[in-house]
Amino acid sequence: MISIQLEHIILSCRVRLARNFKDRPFVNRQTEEQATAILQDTSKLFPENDGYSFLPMARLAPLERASLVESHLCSTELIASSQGGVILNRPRTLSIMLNEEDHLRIQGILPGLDLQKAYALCREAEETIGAAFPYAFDSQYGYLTACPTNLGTGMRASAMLHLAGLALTGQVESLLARITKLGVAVRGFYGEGSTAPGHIYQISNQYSLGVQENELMDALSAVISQLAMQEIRARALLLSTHPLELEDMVGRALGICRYARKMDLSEAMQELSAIKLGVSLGLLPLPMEEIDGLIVACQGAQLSSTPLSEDEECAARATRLRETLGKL
Amino acid sequence: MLCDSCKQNEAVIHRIAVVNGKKSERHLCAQCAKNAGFYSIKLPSFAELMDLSAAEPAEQENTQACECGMTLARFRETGLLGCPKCYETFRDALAPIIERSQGGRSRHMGTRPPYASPAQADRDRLKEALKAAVEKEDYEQAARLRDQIRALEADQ
Repeated sequence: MISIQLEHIILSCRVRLARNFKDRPFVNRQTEEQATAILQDTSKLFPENDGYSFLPMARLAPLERASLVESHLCSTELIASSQGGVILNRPRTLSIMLNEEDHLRIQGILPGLDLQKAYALCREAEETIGAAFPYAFDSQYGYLTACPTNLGTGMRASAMLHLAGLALTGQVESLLARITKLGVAVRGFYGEGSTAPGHIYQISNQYSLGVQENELMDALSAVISQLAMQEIRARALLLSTHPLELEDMVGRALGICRYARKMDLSEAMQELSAIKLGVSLGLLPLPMEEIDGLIVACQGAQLSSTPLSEDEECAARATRLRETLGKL
Repeated sequence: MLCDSCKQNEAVIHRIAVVNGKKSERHLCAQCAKNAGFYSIKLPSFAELMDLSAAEPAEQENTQACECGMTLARFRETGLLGCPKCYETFRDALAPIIERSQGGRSRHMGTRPPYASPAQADRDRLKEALKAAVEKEDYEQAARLRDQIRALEADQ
């Protein structure tokens, strides 16, 4: 019996809290001065001397912004806003998005499944800011947010899961459709509205109101653990019933990545997903950290410090894959 | 296969649609597909998601505006409110929308900031418990809770 590590399936987890300041209009109704005040008021609470960095979008090059999205530190909406900004801690486990849909989107991001710890990271920052500038709070609806779907706790907890086994056994769609009935939402790699290249899915809570933070995280953890167990079962089944096909698929993926000269992102994600599956099943003797690193490193903005054409990007991606996987 | 549109580049996007039993095919290169909007992700609007269009807004609703300038009509378009006060201004109209978007729940149960009034918090919890007791037809418990709420309100 093969043992599959849970960390190979649950890539990372995230908790975010949406907050708005009392007596100020929400982001969609605020003036430029009011938006600037949000950036200034909040950023001064997290000084550089304490290891924080503050990045206003207006001062970042397009490529630097895209890179923040690819590292999951910013949303695509935030980088499109000239009034947006982000505060990061040194290990980049905390990201405070400013002037996104709400004044604050405080996020804790950690490897594996440790929602409680990610929440603790958020809470610390949330309390620091709240002590200086009170939040908009309603006794019935809790923390008030621009969109009613985030009311109450303002919490969205989520995890990124690699469901390659369930995709191969054809169960992923039906399983994910079923869990959405449990108050759980399923999204693609970059959050809302995105697709799931490389069989990487984001699983998150759908409701934020009428439930305590701990209950919400416990319920979500239970669903995620269940999904991970199903994925492990699917992988074990594939390995026992179709070992040759599996090895063939995984080997081909590695071959393509080692020798291809041009590769677009969706192909790269597909091949890396197969390689990742192979590593988790012990079919390929490669370090998993390197493969996970490549999944981020082969995204568009990570490939070069200057903007590339579509062709150049595909070539640079193939080179990155070839060089990294050739060495291992 | 060449792109249907520019007839120069290799087609990479192939869309086959069957509408009323009639099959149509379209083959486009990456650039033309992009121009034709193939890559743009179209999300349903908040109104579509919540099926807001089904609920006919009352005449007066449309003209009412919050001090931030937000109106219900605009909220129905964007799904976003304009300021914390909007929740007060449009409380009645928002209540069913909030309940629907939050899986039927309508009362905050999570952490409260230290400056939220504790008496208010207690009263909220009691009211919630009262509702549950009535639903369970536990009238003894409901009467006790009602008295506690009255006492709290008298204190204030």
